[in-house]
Amino acid sequence: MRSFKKILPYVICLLASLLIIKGLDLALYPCTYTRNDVHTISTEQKDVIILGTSNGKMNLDPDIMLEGTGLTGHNLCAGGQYPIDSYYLARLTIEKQNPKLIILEVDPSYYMEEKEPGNNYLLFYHEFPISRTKLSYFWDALKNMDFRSLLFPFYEYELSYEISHIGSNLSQKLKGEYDPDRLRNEIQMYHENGFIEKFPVDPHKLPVYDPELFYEEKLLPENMAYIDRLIRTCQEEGIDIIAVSTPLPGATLKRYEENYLAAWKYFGEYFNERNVPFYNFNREYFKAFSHDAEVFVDYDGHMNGDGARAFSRVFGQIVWGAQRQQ
Amino acid sequence: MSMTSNLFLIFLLSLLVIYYLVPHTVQWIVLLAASYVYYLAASAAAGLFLIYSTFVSWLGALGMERILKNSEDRKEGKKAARKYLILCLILDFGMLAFLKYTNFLIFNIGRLFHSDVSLLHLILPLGISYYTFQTAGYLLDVYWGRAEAEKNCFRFALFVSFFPQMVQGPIGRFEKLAPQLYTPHYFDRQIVNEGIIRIAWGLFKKMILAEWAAVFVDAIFAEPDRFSGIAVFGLLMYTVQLYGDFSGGIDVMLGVSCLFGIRLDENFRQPFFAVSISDFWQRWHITLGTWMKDYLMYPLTLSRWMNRLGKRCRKIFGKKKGRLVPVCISNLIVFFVVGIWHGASWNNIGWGLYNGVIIALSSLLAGEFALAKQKLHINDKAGWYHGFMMLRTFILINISWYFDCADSFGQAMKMMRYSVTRFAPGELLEISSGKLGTAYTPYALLTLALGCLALLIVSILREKGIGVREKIAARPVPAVAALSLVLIVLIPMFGPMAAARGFLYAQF
Repeated sequence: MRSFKKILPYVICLLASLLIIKGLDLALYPCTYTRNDVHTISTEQKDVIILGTSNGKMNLDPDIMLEGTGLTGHNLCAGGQYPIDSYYLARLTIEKQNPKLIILEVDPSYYMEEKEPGNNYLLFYHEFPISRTKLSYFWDALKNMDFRSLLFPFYEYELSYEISHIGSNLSQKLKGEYDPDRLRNEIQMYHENGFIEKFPVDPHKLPVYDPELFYEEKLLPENMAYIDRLIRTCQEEGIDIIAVSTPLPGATLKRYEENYLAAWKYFGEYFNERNVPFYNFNREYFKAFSHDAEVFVDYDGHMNGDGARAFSRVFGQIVWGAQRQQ
Repeated sequence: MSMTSNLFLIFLLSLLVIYYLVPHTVQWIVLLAASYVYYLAASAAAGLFLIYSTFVSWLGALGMERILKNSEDRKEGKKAARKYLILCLILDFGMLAFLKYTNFLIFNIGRLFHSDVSLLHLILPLGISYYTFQTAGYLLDVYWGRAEAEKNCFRFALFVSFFPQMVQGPIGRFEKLAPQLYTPHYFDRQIVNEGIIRIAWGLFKKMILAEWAAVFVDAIFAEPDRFSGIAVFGLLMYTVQLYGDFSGGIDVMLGVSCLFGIRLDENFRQPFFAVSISDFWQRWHITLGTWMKDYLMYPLTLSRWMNRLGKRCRKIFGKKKGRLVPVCISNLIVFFVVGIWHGASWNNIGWGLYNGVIIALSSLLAGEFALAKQKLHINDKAGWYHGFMMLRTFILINISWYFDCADSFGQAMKMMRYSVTRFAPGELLEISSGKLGTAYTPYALLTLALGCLALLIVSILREKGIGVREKIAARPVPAVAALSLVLIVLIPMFGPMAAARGFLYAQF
């Protein structure tokens, strides 16, 4: 009893500290589009879930893609989404609802790089509701990260940015607001279905990035292991899974031809062995959609809004046409 | 399991709950189990070396004690016990030497004969240098009769593996640490408060000061020619990094230990207030310094052959100087060992010998210095002279660190040259401080400057004998918690965004 009396002030102080920490998180951690995405899939039933990288986020509009099918969908892709994140996002989706199909957008560069600790994990983990999946995700991805990731996830954002958004963060989080208009800026617009529409740019001035080139020997086994787990989980849960590689600009494909050919060969065989249909718009379905610069906003393969909508329509016709044939 | 990781946080909190819930008589068993969990989480294979070292030392000490107690002739008993001692030390240090220095030896032999010899794939178990020194100290203490051999193997295993000291020390002494480990501990507000504030302060030093300083050190030492105008800042930043990292890590671990009611030995005492290199070594990595003094320096200086050498030197150099020669030689040997303890490289050996030579020279020339001071009418106790001595020591220590942080001897010499021939502080602003490039660099420098100022103020107060930590710990719990929280919240707000680096001294 005496011991308990001694410990009680510490317990109270610990709880008060946790409360302050939670307050700081509410005020300083920005409201990202992933917050909206995770909220949607945790609260609304969707038939089709799209996972993958920024190329998937900006090139696949679920509403256009699923037009006339009677299905609903949500784009859960995000820049910096590695296989581990795709796997846990899929698990969260399965834990919260019953999707019929998962579409995995494939960008070969993400399979060779080790995911850096920090922001990219927190982008997803932070928004996960308390769940078994969140616990597993923590154990797999965050347990060895420094304590800031758990207690102060806002640490990866610039302080001046955080301070300027305190009011808006607090009001959105406390009121439970998920207004997509707040996520609009001068270069892009977030849609309620998770699709990000990029505004067109001058096709003669597309920015060039140096992609992480594909070499089979550089593939990280842990990345591939998470894709294996994702496929297995879908198959065990009776959820269809398909993979897609969205069109890349012709100039990019030409410049790194050897690496991309090797990548398509590898992933083609990989998905084939696992009975996962792979819709590769840079090889088998190359001619199905334009690879001209006019469709893109950069040489990395991110499309502008019109291009993305046109591609989503083509993709939808190919996939659902194929399924109907089956 | 890094001390700054989420896993460690969870591990620590769960352990504290269990520790204060279980009957007090079994608290040490909880600590033992936790220490092994902590250790095996780092590497299961490395655990075998820990068990080996524990078992060899435990058996060896028991054997020695039995011989010493049972032998009728004390001299004969001592002789027989010495055989045990030497065997155990060979087994202990042999393992350390094999794992830590074999590749260094192979590499250098290869270079000597201009051949490409492939190195062995050896693991370096976490904390091996620390627990080997700790067990060796224990064996020597038992041999000299300073400590009684521990009969219970598991209790002894806790002394060797107590988790807060596994990563970077301090190197504990059996007679001081063991009784604390085995005694029941009740929740003591003062010591727990000290622990909390110490952890927060340690994290502040590590994750703000050391991490920011590391950003600049890495950039400057990676491109010494590009940043030649700030070579001297590179070195000063390295001082901040090393001190923040090492003393910060030690503070965290001493704080963690306090949460269990156990006080580990202090490892730092305001080292940059030292007025000589030997004074510095009594303030920096204190437990290594005292270990070297007690278990290597004194036995060496008092050994028979050193005595004989002393006699011969007295004949050649006169009484005064001749007496100092054995001490100087012992010093050089000790610092050679200190150097190589820090790592199997010529840089470390050079760094160790540099310290040893300065200490040896200052002992040998002490008379001349005293005479010069007398002639120049310098008052030893004058404030300016004290300041001068501190500055001189600081510079000497910093010079030694050129060898510590440079990749090669050549690079160290180049950095030294740049430090005195080029000065362009503006180059600091060209260093990228993270994802935002150079945009955040001025704030990083300001944060570093303010952090160093805070560190300096606390150090001055402690040097004046004001126990800052103890005073804060005596305040009510909410005040301690609030101050600790403020220190910790400063980390995500003003520390670098990049993931925290590992502790520098964990590699030893």
